[in-house]
Amino acid sequence: MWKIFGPNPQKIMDQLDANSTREEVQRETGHVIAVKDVSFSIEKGETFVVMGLSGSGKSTLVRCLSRLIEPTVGNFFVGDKNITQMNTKDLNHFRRFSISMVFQHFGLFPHRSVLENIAYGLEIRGMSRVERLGKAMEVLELVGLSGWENNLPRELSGGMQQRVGLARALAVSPEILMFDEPFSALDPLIRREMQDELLSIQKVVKKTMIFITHDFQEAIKMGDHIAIMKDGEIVQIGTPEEIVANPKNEYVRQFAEDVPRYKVLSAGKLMRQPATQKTQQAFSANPTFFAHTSDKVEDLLEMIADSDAAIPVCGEKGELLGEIDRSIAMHSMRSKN
Amino acid sequence: MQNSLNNDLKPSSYLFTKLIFAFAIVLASFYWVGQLDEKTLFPTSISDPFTFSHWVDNGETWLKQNYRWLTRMIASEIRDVLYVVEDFLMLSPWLFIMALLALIALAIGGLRLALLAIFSCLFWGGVDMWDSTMQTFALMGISVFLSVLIGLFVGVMCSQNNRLEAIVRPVLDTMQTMPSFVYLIPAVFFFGIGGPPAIFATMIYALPPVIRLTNLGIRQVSAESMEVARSFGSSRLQMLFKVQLPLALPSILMGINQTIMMALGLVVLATFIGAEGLGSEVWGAITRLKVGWSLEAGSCIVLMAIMFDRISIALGDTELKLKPSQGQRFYLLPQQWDRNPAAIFIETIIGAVWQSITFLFTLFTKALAWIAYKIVATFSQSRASILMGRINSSVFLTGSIVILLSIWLFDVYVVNIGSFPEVMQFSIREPVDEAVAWLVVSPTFIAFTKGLRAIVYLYLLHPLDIYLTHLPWYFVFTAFGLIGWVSLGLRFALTTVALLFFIGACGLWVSAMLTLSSVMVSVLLCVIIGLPIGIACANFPRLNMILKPILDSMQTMPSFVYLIPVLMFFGGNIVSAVIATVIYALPPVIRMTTLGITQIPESYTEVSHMFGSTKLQRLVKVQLPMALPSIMMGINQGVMMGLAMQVITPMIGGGGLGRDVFYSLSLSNTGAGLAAGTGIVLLAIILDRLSQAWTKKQREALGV
Ligand SMILES: Nc1ncnc2c1ncn2[C@@H]1O[C@H](COP(=O)(O)OP(=O)(O)O)[C@@H](O)[C@H]1O
Ligand SMILES: [Mg+2]
Repeated sequence: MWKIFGPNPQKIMDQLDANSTREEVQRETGHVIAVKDVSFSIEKGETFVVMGLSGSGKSTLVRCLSRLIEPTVGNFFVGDKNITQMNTKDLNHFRRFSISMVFQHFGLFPHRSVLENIAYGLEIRGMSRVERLGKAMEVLELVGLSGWENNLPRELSGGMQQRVGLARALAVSPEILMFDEPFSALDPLIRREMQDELLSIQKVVKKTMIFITHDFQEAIKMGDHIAIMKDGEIVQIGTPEEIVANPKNEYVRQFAEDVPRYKVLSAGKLMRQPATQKTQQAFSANPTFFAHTSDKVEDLLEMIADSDAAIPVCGEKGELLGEIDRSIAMHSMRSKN
Repeated sequence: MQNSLNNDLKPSSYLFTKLIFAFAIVLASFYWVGQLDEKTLFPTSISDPFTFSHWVDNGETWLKQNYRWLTRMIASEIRDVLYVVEDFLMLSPWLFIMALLALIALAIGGLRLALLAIFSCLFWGGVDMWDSTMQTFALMGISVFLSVLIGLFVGVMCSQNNRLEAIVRPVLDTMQTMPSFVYLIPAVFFFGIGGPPAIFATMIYALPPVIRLTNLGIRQVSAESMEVARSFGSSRLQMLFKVQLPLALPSILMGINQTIMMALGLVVLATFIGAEGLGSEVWGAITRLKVGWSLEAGSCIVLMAIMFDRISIALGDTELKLKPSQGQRFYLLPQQWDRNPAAIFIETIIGAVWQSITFLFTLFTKALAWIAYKIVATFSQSRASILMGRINSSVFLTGSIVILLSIWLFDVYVVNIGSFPEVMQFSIREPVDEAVAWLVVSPTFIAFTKGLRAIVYLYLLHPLDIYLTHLPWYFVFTAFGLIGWVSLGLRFALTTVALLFFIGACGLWVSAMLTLSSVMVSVLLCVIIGLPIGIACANFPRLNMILKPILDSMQTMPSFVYLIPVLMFFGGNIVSAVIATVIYALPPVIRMTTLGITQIPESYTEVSHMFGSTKLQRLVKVQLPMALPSIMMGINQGVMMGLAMQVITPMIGGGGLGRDVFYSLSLSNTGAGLAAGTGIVLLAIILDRLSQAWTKKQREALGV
């Protein structure tokens, strides 16, 4: 998918030199390439995080998906429906029933009460007043705002306002939820609380989520898959673990350095292969004492600390693949490698 | 810092030399004109064949012959509606109308406004002008309703369509430079005389603010809100009705407020095309030189203006003022008066009455809700409880309905309330007349007015009249052309000359120069009086606090009302016309001067402090030059208001184009009236553009 801002994006698109950078194009033509040849696929029910510094084109990218901004070139499929080719009527139907979005600055309507804000999407669908307010009330409880339904948005704190934003998006029970830096405008403590809450809500609702952030930590915490963007392009896509373990280039490594690896990486990534003789013997002597390859190092810390010997690491079927010991664990706790 | 200050001040001192130069030219030409002893006329070879007024009259005749059925039809439709509304207002028992007004005021603006409404009603009835007031109400109601309806529609359309906006905007600009009176002429042209043309003219005249502020309000809705609405799949209409219009509401209500005030200004003037109402009372009194009578009618208008203004402003306040349950004390007077025992006494009584009314309302509502519940419950339990909840939550509405209904029933079945009782009537006519009579024979007063009249006439008005009317027309053309060229470029210079040519060709040259002269003198006096007051206000916040509400209410009053006190003290003559114009046009000059000075950034005044300037030095060297753009804007508004006043002052002796309009209108001479009216509009356009260009230049020079 591509998005070029400027008076004549199509022309730029046709003439584009594959090697020219974003700055060059902007300097020469005055057009901004906000999204450059981005493609990815998202599994149903997963959280897909798009991470990048400000100005890297994240907001433009998600808006191109729901066509709040028309993409210059490209397609977006949900199942077998091509959203990009839809006419206005179908598009509105899609927006009313299948997708909804949470905004960075909350985007609450100042003239509507909390409850009416939450019910907005349902109102647009033409749902009756009683029904939509009932539904909104349920969602209001889900996000923990009972008792505030008749207040105006401006009477709420930032964190509570974003809960309303979240509730408004959830109320329409969409297939896909999009978040454009939903917690960036909040204080760090509130932000953490909201992240946890979103995770626990996600456990219940199991939606497909596209989550934008400029905070790598947040990306690691929320994402099943992460796409890292720079200057409109995706630099790397992968699970948090893959990205931290194998940063593709210097740019990604800089982010990866900031996270404690033991929190992200699993035993399988860090284990020594193959296991030493000694560990093999210990494993055959006591086949119930081992770690799985998928266990995060963080969760094994107690075990490693209590055992002087290396701990055997087994695969899915219980076969011995390697070992992990204090030295490996301690090294992983240093953030830079 | 000092350096930058100096740079900032340079353009104005440059301007100063230019001004002196221009002044020298004017003086020289003055001397030269003094040698001429005849009025210069516009060449008759041009003005004779250019019979604009005849063409208009012919057009009117043609229209009358061919489209009379259409205008007749529209006029009769409007007339029917007008009669229905008038009948309702005039035939309903006065108590009913008073209760209705008071309850509306109560709902919108709280107890204080309700008391104002009751007081106004008692005054209208008291001075025996109930019917006239109701007639004015009817005219107002219909024209404002139409204005708002059309204005909202056009405003919404403009907000959705940039091209339409680009077309409508200059039209609105021009409409707002036209004096109100001018709208009456085409209305008479199309609809004859009476209520319908008055409504039509008022509707058009009062249209711009709603259009403007609706468009603006919708366009100011944040892009974010729009994006959110789009992301939920709102259609364009849903977007408009659920997001844009609600968010634009405060702005729209502000537009409606302005529309209402403008409408009132014209509705009272419409007496000249035969619309009945308070305007005719004032006019009747003025023509018979009955000061007390005109004062009564004028007060009725002022009360109406204040009431409309307050109610429509209160509409825009989002917070609901009516909370019957709140046990708070009621304050009628400013809270500082709290210690005054009389104030406490009055407030306590009103508060108690208010509490008991609230209690009764609640009681009524509860009872009603219970009865409704019992009745509906026999059909459906759930619906009954919803209904009960609804009724219970609208204490106020239910109470109002009960009150209105009981008044009506009482009127029909018990005693006919009828019109305002005579026992409650009072009159301030005689005392006022006597007081004025006493005043005008007092020698000091005579000396004062005579002196003032002499100074204004002998030293300002008369010489300038002579000068402008004797100045050869091509000289004026050249002067305006040059000024236009310097300020706005060649295109504007040519336009100016063309517009002046039109005025000359219509045979209105002398009238136009007289109008120009009287506006110039009025504005000069405005500046002489207003500038010091404005400066004083800027330096003494207390004075500003006292003057601000006075200026506010002066600006809500229809221009017509200003004639009354002037007539009272100065009688009817050309100087009175100037004085009325000065009073009318004074508020913006004072206001913008104060605003301009108080808006100067602290840092500049600090710098001048640092250099040890005296107060006077600071004023002359820093404050005035920096405030100049704002002052110029005030003067511009003063000029526009002065021009607008020209059509009204002929009633107390004004001359010039205004008088031409005025008399053509009373003789229903459409062509001549339209020509003279157009002349005023053209002058207004030229002066407006010129002074706006100057203000802009000043602003740019000062970098603000
Ligand atoms: N409407 C627009 N017109 C022109 N350029 C734009 C527009 N919107 C965004 N851009 C540019 O596109 C780039 C990406 O912006 P955005 O998607 O908002 O980045 P992010 O959300 O990652 O901070 C930026 O360089 C921005 O300046
Ligand atoms: Mg962004």
